[in-house]
Amino acid sequence: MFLEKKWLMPRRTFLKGAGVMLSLPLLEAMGKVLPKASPEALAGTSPASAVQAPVRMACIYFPNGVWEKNWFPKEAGADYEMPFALEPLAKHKQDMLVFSGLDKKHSHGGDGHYAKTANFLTGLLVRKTAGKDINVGSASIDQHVAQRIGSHTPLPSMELGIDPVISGIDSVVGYTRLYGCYISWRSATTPVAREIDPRLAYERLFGVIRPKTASADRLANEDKRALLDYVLEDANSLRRRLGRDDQYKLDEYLDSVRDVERRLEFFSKPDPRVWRPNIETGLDYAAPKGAPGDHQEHVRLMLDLMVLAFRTDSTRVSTFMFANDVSGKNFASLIPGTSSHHELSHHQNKPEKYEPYSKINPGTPSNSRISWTSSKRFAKGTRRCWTTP
Amino acid sequence: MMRAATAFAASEEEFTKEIRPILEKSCFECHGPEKHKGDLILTTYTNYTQVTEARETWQKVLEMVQAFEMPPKGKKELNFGDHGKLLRWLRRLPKPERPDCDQIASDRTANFYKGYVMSRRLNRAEYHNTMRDLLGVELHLEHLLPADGGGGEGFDTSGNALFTSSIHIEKYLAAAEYALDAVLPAKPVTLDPKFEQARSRILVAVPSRKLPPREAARRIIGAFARKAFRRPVTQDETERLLGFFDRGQKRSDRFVPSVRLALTAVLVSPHFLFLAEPEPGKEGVHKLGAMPLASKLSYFLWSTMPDEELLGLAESGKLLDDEIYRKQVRRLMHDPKAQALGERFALQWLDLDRLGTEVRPDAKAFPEFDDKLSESMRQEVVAYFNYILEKDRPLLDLIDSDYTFVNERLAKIYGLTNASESLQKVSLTDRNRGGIVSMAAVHASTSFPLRTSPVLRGKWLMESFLGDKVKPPPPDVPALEDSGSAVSLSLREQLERHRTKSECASCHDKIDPLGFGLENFDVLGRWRDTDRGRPIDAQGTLPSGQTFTGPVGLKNLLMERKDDIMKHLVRKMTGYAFGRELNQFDQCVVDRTMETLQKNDYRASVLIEQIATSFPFRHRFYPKQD
Repeated sequence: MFLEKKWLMPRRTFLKGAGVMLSLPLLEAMGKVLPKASPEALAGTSPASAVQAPVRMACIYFPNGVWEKNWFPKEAGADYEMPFALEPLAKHKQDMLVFSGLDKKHSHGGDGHYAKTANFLTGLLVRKTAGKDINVGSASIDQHVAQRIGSHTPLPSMELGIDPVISGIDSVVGYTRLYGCYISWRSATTPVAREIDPRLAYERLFGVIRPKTASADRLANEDKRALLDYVLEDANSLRRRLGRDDQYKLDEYLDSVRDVERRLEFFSKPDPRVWRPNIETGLDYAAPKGAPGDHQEHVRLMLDLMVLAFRTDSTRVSTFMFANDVSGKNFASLIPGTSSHHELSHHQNKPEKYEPYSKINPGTPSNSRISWTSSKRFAKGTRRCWTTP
Repeated sequence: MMRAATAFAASEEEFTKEIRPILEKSCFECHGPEKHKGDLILTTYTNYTQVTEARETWQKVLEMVQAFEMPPKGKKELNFGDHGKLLRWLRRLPKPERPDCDQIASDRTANFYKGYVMSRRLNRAEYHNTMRDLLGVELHLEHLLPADGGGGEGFDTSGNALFTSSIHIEKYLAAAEYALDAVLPAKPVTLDPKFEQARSRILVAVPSRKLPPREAARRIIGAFARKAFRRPVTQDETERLLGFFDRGQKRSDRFVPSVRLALTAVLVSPHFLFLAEPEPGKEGVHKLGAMPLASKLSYFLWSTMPDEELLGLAESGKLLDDEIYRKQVRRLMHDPKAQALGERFALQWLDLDRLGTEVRPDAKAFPEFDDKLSESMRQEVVAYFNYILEKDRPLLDLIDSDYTFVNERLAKIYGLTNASESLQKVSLTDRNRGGIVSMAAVHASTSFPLRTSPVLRGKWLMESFLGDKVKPPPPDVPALEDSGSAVSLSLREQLERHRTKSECASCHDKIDPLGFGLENFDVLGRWRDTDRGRPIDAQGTLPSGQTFTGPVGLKNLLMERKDDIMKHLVRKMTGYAFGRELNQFDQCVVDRTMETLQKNDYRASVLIEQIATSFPFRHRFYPKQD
């Protein structure tokens, strides 16, 4: 009912053969029953004879909350009626758990959205600041996991998004807007840069440094590593001298350097991965172009990339943000009657506001995509966590 | 009278009943007669009239409250409701009269201050130019890097839109390696004279009996890093770079390869790749330091690093002298490197940089169109724009003139004879030609692959040239081709039928007539009197009832709106130079530049000088820091 024709239009997708590839009995071959999330399974180091697809973790965030009345099932237990907002996921009801009561107590204080978004994956107190002393309490859960199992894949984790980072201060509530732009935090005070350009995200996955070419490079790997260490130091010292609005640009640079370092490191050692995807890393796909102007297309590409990252076992941890918090994206062309997402989210229990608002979560292509994603693209074993911020 | 009096009474009451109690609760303790912190006493304001007589003071209060600086943390903090109430009241107060041109947006002055990225990485074109000037040879390294998107006012100089990803790091490494391999090959080989020159420019010292290798390396690396970082290099920095030289020496690499490793480090350092504007360590609005200012100016006018003269003036601090700075602005804009403005600014401003890639006439219908022709078309615009700058011509030449630049390929399109193979200036006798709107690059960029489009051309004229806003079409409007109109109708008839629908007419009545003024130019910009056997009807009637015919008529019309066109150009170039979106405070720069242009015959130099010497260009706001 929400799948209007528009969303089913053929896409200029780079994942051309994906449908075919995914119909391969990959999952069946790997066994239907998932192992418990033992450390071995998490790390993908179970004995090869009993190899299961590794357990993955995807954290997907959308801004501006939900209309709870049609988000949470009314009944507890397995036999519940699919609430309106989750209807696109109806097919997966049996594989899915909906949690309620996960309200973050530290989000109760603090005005506005920021105290709820920045700690989406930390659950801790977000320090109220105009940018001087950003703090979200700790590293985020995805980064904790990445630190534990990240060494098993070329990328410890992959952070994706749609909107560019915005800085500055939200003068209504006195929080820096940066808080609304990040859910992944390397530490309590440093967000992890995210990729919003599909092309660059693709390159990050399947960059220049690969196992086959690494040794053929003219520059010796040790030299490269020394160079990268040097620029990391440079970037760190430069970052300290820059202003709030500029620092996150240096963070992007720093994260990129770390990324390259990691890849060098990874491919200079024997590949620790036991589970083998039955597709060649990246090479089967044409690289996507830059960010498409179209929002729906952009979201689909980014989610495709997340799936691609999992399927090639390039990473096992990924986060995605549909938009920055307080996003005023207008979905009127998809869901007639809606206007600025943020504005509607402050519905004051007025039907003329919450009715269109409540349609955005299930009704935007982005979220119908969750269903599409989970039905077709995610290999089983992927743990998805999305909750209402 | 009555109404004014009532309003005043309401303000008075609001102040005494609503606002003053908040001030009393949260401000008076520190800003009373006893402590008078920051020399500010608020207790004396007992009525609204007194408040309106001290606008400057209350403006400051607004700035502090808006930025959540007052009341300070932990002291009499305002609750959410009171903060909002006070802020709304402060914002409604009459504003002090100040010269806006000396202001920039900040946490304090702007409601919803967004922040701007001012320390940004070099974009692809700048990277290429900078490597060219640093090494002294053209290596076309830009093809090694991923393309950049536009941001701010639509340019690739916008910091917010310049992302860095791991692919950049890998490519920078590869490009540095490739470039240094070309000029400093590991094994001694005979180089092309140009490369030999570049090599000796870099190797400013050679080890000898008097000069140990490490000392020679120090000089080479120090000189190279100073140029690359566009600032003096500290001893410590050189020493760290020498670590790479040592690394090479230790494993008995030869001298040049060892130096090269250190130079590679320079080329991937953020000090090279970023145009950084470091903090002075104190928040507030500050004048840019001499070094960042030198880079900012040279990347604005040249899209490349400062030359020795500019760098020297910055190092000595003399660049901060107003007169010397102005002289440098003039010198840079008349230097051949300022041609970068045509290539970098003009093509992006006019949205012509997609021609040949995203926008391309159909290969079968227009076999003449190839990469060479597409490049010639774009280069005509670039040469024309640069000529106006170089000769300090009136910018109105952009609208109409009696000259242009053609090569053989373009001459054929324009029906001109005696053209040389390279682009040359030619005089025009045909009034239909001359000015940007008569150029093939515009016609080809605003056509569909198989036919011209008065709609696209009208939209381009409005958005790119006149600076009018065009609303996007409402959703679910079928494209012209699919709207089922009979094929026998001419394009004009189809469009007219389309305009009979009221939801279309409100915009298309403005867009289409302008586009029809260019109907005599086909997809490739060739003159035509008929289209598929029908005579061209190049008449346009604007909603005002004003009519015009053909390119000449259109150009006359555009000339009547010259100030709109100029203002749009000023806005665009300001956005390009500032590397960000313009905000309310920049409006003053735009207005002042317009006034000065009008007084000075729209001379091109005025535009550049006004922007480069403006307050926002030379100042920065530094937010609070740890």
